[in-house]
Amino acid sequence: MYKPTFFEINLNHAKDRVTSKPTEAYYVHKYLRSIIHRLSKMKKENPEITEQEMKEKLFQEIDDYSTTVFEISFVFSEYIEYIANQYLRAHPDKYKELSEKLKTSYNDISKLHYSDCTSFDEYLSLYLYNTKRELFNYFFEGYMKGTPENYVNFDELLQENIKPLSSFYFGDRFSLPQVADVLADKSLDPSKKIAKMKEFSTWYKLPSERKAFLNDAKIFIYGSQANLSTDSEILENLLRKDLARSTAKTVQNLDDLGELKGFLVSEVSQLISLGFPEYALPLCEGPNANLQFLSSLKGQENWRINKSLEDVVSVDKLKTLHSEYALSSPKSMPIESLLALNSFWSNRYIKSLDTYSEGMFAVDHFDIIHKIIAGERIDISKEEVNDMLIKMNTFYRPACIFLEKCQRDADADALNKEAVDVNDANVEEKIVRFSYEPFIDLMNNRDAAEYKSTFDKMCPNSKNDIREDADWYIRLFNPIYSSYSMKDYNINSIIASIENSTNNFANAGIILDKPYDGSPVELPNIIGIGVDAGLTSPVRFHIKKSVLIDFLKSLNGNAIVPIYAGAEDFKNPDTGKLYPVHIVSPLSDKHKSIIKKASRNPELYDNPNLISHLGFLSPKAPPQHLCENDDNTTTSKSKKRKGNFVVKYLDLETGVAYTKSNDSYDKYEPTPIGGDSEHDI
Amino acid sequence: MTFNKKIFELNFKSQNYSYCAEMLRSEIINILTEKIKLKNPQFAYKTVRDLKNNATKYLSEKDQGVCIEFYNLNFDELSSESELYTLLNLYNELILSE
Repeated sequence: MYKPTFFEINLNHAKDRVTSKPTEAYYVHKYLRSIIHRLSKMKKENPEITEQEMKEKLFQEIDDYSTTVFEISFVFSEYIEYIANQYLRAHPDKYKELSEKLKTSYNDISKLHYSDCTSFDEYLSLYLYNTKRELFNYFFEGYMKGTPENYVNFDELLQENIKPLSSFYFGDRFSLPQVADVLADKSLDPSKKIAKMKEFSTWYKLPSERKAFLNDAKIFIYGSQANLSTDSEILENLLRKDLARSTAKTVQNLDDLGELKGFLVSEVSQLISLGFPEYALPLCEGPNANLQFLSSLKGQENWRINKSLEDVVSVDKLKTLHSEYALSSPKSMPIESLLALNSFWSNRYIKSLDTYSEGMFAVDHFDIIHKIIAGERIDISKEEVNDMLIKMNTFYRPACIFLEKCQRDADADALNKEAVDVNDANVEEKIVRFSYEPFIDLMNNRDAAEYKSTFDKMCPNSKNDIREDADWYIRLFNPIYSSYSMKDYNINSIIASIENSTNNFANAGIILDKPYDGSPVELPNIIGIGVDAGLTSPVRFHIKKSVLIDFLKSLNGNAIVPIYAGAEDFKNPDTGKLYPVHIVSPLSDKHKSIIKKASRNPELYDNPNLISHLGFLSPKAPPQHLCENDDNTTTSKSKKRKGNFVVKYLDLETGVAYTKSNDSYDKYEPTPIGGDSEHDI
Repeated sequence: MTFNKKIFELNFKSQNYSYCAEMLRSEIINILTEKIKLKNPQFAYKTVRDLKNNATKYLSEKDQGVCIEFYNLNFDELSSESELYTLLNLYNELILSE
C-alpha cells in the first residue's frame, strides 16, 4: 500500500486549508498593493538601499510586530495571579484550606504553569505555591535550603525557627537582630508585637524603609497570609505597567500597519449615522472638527462621508489616549477595564497581523524586494496569490509542531529558573527567544527535493528555495501561532474576572439575540460576550459555545454565566444586527462631559437607550431602562420610577436564566422593565 | 460514543453546518481523548487547551499536529462551512491513522 511522504501529506493539507478560506487570496492580493507602495517609498527615500538591507529592515519590522503579540501573551499569567490574590484576600478560609492541601499535592502543582491549570482551585493553588516559594527564598536565603517540601511548609518552618531566623534575617537586612526577642516572645500577642515593631521602625528615616521593615515583620507575626496585601500592590503595579505598554504598542503597531485611520473613520461615521456626532469630537481635529460639520454629513453616501472624515479624524488624539504614560496611571481606569481595552486592541491586531504575514510571505515568494530595487514592473494575479498560499501552508503543520515544542521546552526551562524581579519591566527578559534553524534544517533535509519540483511547476516565477521560504514563514507564523493561545487566555481572563470578582465591570456577560422571555434560550455555536468596562464603547468578542462551556465547568463546576444586559440598545433596528464596534478608547474628560450631558436627557436623541447605555460607566449608576421594578419603590407622577439593576445568569447547557443571591441561583421569571414612561421599550 | 453518521448526513443535507461541526468537534475530542488514555489512563477531557497539552505529551507527531490544528480552529473565525470542511479533514486524518 502506498504511503504518502510528509511533503505530500502537508501539500494536501495545505490545499484543504486554502480551500477552506476561499476569499483569502482576494484580500491578500488587495493588501499587496499597499506593501508594494510602502517598499517603493522606502526605496525612494533611500535610493542606495540594497536588497539585503531592505530584507533586514523587514525582518526587524516582523520581529517588532511579533514581540507585541508575545507581550500580550505573558500578561495572562500576571492577570491570573492578580485574580487569585484578590480571591484569597477575600476568602481567608480558602487560603488555609489550600495551604493544607498543598502539603500533600506540591509535587504535582510545582510542575504546572498557569496555562496547564484546568480549574480555579488549581490557579489558586499554583499562585499559593509560587507565593510560598518566593517567600521562602526571600526569608530563608542563606539560612535553609529551598525545596518544594520546604516551600509548602513555610509558615511552620518560620515559627519553628522564629528566633534564630529573625535574628539572622533582621540582622542581615536591617541591622536589627534584637527584634528576634520580640518576635519569638510567646507572651506577647500579635497586636503588641506589631506595636513594638512600629517603635523599631522609627529608627529608619525613609518611609519606604519603614514600610519594608513593617511588611517583613508582619510575615513573621502573622505568617504568609499577611503577604497578600503587599503582593496585591506589587501585582497591580506590574500588571498595569505591562498592560499599559502592551496596549500602547498594539495601537502604535496598528497605526504603522496603516489600519488605525480606517477604524477611526468608520467609528465617527457610525456615530454620525446614530445621531450622536458630538461623541466623536474628542477624536477629531482641524477646522471641521465641530458639531455643525459632522451633523451636516448625516444622510450622505458612505463614500462621501468617509472621504470628508479623512482630514477630520485624529489618529494622534487616539494614540495620546492610549499612550503608555496615560494608561499606566492608576487614576486612568481600573485594572479590569485596562484588560478589557487590551483585549479589544489585541484582537484587532491579530486580524491585521494575519493578513500582514501572508502579504510579507508574498514579498519573498514573488521576489518583490529585488523587483523594487531593480525598478522592475510587478504584476501579480489572484491565481498566483492562491498558489502562493498553498505553498505557504505546506509549512503550517510542521511549524505548529515545532513551535509547540519550543514553547513547552521554554516553559520547562522557566520552572527551573529564578523568577524575574517583579519590578523589572524589561520586556526582553520575559519573552523567550529560540532559534529557527532547527525548523529550517528539518524542512530542508526532509522536503527540499519534492518542494522544489512541485513548486517549480506550480509557481514557475518563484525561486522556491525551501530554506529561504521556511525562514520567512516561521518568522511570520510564530506570532500568529501564539495568537491562538493569546485569544484563549484573553477570553479566559475576562471570564474569570467576571466570575470571580464583584463590581469589576458595570455590566458584563453573554449577549442574547433577544431579551429573555422565560423560555429556554437556544444559543448559537458562536456566542458573543459583551463588557461595559467604563470605556467609550462596550468591548465585544466571540467564543465558541462549547469552548466556553468547557472552560466554565472546569473553572466553577457549572456552565452558568452572567447575561450582558441591554444588548438590544446597540442593535440596528433595520437589520437586527449589533452595530459593529470600530474603536474602543479610554474616556477623555471631554468624552465624560459629553456622555454625562447626553445621559441627562437621552430622549433628545434618535437612540435614547443607546445614549443611556453608553453612560453606563459604573455598577452603581445603571441606566433606568435596564432596571427592574422593585415592589418597594414609591412612584408618583412627580418622581421618576426607580428600580434595581439585577444581574441575570444563564445556564449555557439548559438555556434557563437565574438570578443570584448569597451564592445560590434562583430561577428567573421576567418582570416589566423599569424606566421613564416617555421612552419605554 | 459512536459517531452517528446518519444524523450527520441528515443535517449535512439540510445544510445545518453548525450542528454538523459540533458533532465532528465532539467526536474529534472523543478520539483524541481515547488515544491519550492509552498512554495516560487518568486523563479526562476538560478543555481544548488541556487536550492539546496532553496530546503533545503522549501522542504521535501526526496526532499532535491534528490536535494542535484542532485547538487553533477553536479560536479561529471561519465561516461555518469553512469550519466544517476543516473539521471533516481533521476527522478523516484521525480515523485513517487508527
